[in-house]
Amino acid sequence: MKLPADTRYSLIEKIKNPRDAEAWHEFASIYQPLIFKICCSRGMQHADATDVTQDVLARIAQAIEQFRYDQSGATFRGWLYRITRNMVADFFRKGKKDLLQHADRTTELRFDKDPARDECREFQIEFQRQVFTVVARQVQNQVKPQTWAAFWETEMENRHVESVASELEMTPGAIYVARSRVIARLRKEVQKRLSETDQFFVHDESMP
Amino acid sequence: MKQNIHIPEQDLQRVIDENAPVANQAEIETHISDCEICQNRLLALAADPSWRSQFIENMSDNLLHTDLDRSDHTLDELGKTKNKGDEYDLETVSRMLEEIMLPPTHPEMLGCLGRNEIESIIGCGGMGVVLRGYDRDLQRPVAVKMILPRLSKNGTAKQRFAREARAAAAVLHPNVIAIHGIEETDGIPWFVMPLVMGSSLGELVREQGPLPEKEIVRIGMQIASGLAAAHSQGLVHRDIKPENILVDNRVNRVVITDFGLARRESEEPMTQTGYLAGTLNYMSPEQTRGLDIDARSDLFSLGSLLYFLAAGVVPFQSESPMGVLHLISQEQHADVRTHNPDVSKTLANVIDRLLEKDPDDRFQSAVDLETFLAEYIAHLHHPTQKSAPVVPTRRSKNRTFAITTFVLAGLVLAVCIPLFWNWWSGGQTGPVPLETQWTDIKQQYQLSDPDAFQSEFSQLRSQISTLDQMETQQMPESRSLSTQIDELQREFNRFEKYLD
Repeated sequence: MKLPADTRYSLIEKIKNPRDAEAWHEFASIYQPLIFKICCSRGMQHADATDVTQDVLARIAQAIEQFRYDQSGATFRGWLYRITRNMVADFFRKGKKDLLQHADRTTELRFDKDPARDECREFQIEFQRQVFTVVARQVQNQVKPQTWAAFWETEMENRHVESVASELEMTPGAIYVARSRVIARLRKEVQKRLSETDQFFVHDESMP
Repeated sequence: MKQNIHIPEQDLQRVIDENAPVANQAEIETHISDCEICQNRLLALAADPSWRSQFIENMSDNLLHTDLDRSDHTLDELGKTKNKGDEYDLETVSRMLEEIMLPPTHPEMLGCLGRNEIESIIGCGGMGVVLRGYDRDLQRPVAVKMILPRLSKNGTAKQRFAREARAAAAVLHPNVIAIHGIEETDGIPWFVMPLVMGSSLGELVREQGPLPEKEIVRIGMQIASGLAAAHSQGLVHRDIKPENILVDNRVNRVVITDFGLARRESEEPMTQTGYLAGTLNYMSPEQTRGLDIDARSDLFSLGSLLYFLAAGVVPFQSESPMGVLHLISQEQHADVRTHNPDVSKTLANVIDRLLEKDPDDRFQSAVDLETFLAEYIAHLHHPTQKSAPVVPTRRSKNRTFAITTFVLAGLVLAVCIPLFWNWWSGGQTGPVPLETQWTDIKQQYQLSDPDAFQSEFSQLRSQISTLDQMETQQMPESRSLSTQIDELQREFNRFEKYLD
C-alpha cells in the first residue's frame, strides 16, 4: 500500500494497525518501560504500575487511529506524557479499576499550543535513555558477536585496542572499522527513533 | 608501516557505510592499525564526539543503577564478553593504574600515586576500586579509592564519585571514615582513607553468627553517633548496610564507609526518576517507592542492620528483588526474638521502632537513638543501679493524635468551606495564608471537645468525597482539591511543633 507522499513512514503510522504485531512490539519496547518508570516515580507499587502501564498502552491503541499529522498539534511524546500523567493521577484518586472507561477524554486530547507544557524534561531524558537501550539491543542482534565485542570493549569498557585485538584475533585496524560501523549504525537508528515521535499530531474525532 | 599519505575521506566513508565493498579494505585496515590520525578520522565520521559521549554516559548510567525490570536482561546481554559477577576486571584496573601511577620505589609494589606507595588491589566497593597503599610522608598504611576504569570517561560517574568523597570528607567523627585528600591524576579521581584493620559487619556476622546483645547495642550507638554527625551536615547516607560498616579491631570501634549514594538534602538528585539507588534489603519503605527521603530513612536501614546483627538474617528477605521491595513497603517483619530468643524486650522494641513503615513513628533523629542506646548500655553495665530505659510509644498511640486530628479537621474545614462556596458561586479562590488560619484555628479549637470534632471530621470526609465526584464532572482543572489537601497535610506536619 502506497502512502501519500507527504506522510513520513514511521512507527506511529504503523501502530495505527492493531494487527501489526512487530510494530507494536517495537513501540512497546520503548514506551512500556518508560511509562512504567513514570508510574513508579509517582509512588506506585510495582503491580499497580504494571497494570496502569497496560491501561495507558490500551488507551493509545484506542485513540491512535484518529490521529493525523498537523503542525498545529503537539508531539506524540507530549500526548503520551499527558495521558500517562492523567491516568496516574486518576489511579491515586479513584483506584485502578476501570481507569480506561473513565479516562477523561475531553481534557486529555486537548493540547496546549506550547509543547513545553505537554512534555516534561524528565520524560525526555528517560525517553532518550530508553531509546539508546533499545537501539543498542537491536544493533547488537544485527551484527556479528565479534563485531559487537570489538565495539563494546573499546568504546564502552574503554579498554586498549591492542589487548582487545589480540583477544578477538583481529587486527587493530579491523577493530577500529568494526567499532566505527557499530557507532554509525547506532547513531542512525537512534536518530530515526527520536525523529519518529517528533512529529506533530492532532486528534481528529471526525476521522473514521 | 608508516605512510605519509592518509586514507582519502570518501574511502573512509564507504568503509563505514558498509554499502559498497571497498576494494582495498585489507590495506586500509593495515594502515589504520598504526595511524592514529586515520583512527580518529574514522571515528569522527561514525559520529561526532558529543554524541558518542552522550551515548556512553546514558548507557553507563544504566549500568550504574539497579535495573529492577529483570525481564529486560539488556545489561547482561549487552556486556556479553564480561564475566557476570565480575565487578571489575583485574587486568583493566592494573592497566589503568600503570597509566597514571609513577614507578614504585620498591620492586614488589605496583606503583606510586602522589605520596602513596600502592601495594595491591583490595577489591571493589561502590563505584570504585580500593587499593592498599602506604603513605610515605606520614608513614602509615592507607586505603586509596579510585573510580572504576570503565567509568573513567563518564562525566556523570566521575561527578558522583567526587561527590562521595566530598560527602564523607565533610563529616569529622570517629565513627565516620575520614577522607585525607581528594586528588586527580590524568583525569582519574582518587582519594585516600585510613586503612581499617578488620572486616565489615557483614563478614563478621557471617563468620560468627548473631552478636551478643551488649555488642549490638554498642555498635548501634556508635553508628547512630556517626549518622548524627552526617545528618547534622545535611547528609543522608542512603546505603546503610553491614557491608558498609567496618570494624576496627585495634580500637574496638565501627566506622561508616561508602558514602557513594549519600546526598545532601539541598542537592539536585543525580538519579533520574524511576531509578532506585542503594542495596535492596536494607532500604526504607520510602526509598523503595522513590519518594522523598530524609535522615529517618537511614534510621530504618539501621534498624534492619541491628535486626541482622541480632538474628543473623535480614528482616525482609525474598527470592526476587520485587519481593523484597514489597515486603519492606507492605509487610510487617517477624519479631527478632523468633530468630534469637536471647534478645531482650528492650532491644526488640528499639528494632521495631526503627522498622516502623511511617517515618513519623520511628525515632525522629539519630541523636535520640544514640541517647537512648547510651542509657541502655549504662543499664546493661549496672543493672541494679540504673533502670532500663523504655522505648517511647508510637505517636499514633498518643493523646496528641486526637488533638492533631481535630486540628487537621479544623484546617481542612477552614480551607474547604470557602472553596466549596466558591465552587457553587463559580468564583475564584485566592489562597488564604496558612499562618493566619493556623492562629485562628488554634485559638478556636484547642479548647474544644475532641469527640465533637471527630464527628465533624467524619462529616468533612464525606463532604470531600462528594465534592470530588461533582468536581470530576464539572471542573476542567481537576485534582485541585485533593492536591490542596495534600499540601495542607504537609504544611500541618510542619506546624506540629506548635502542639504540646
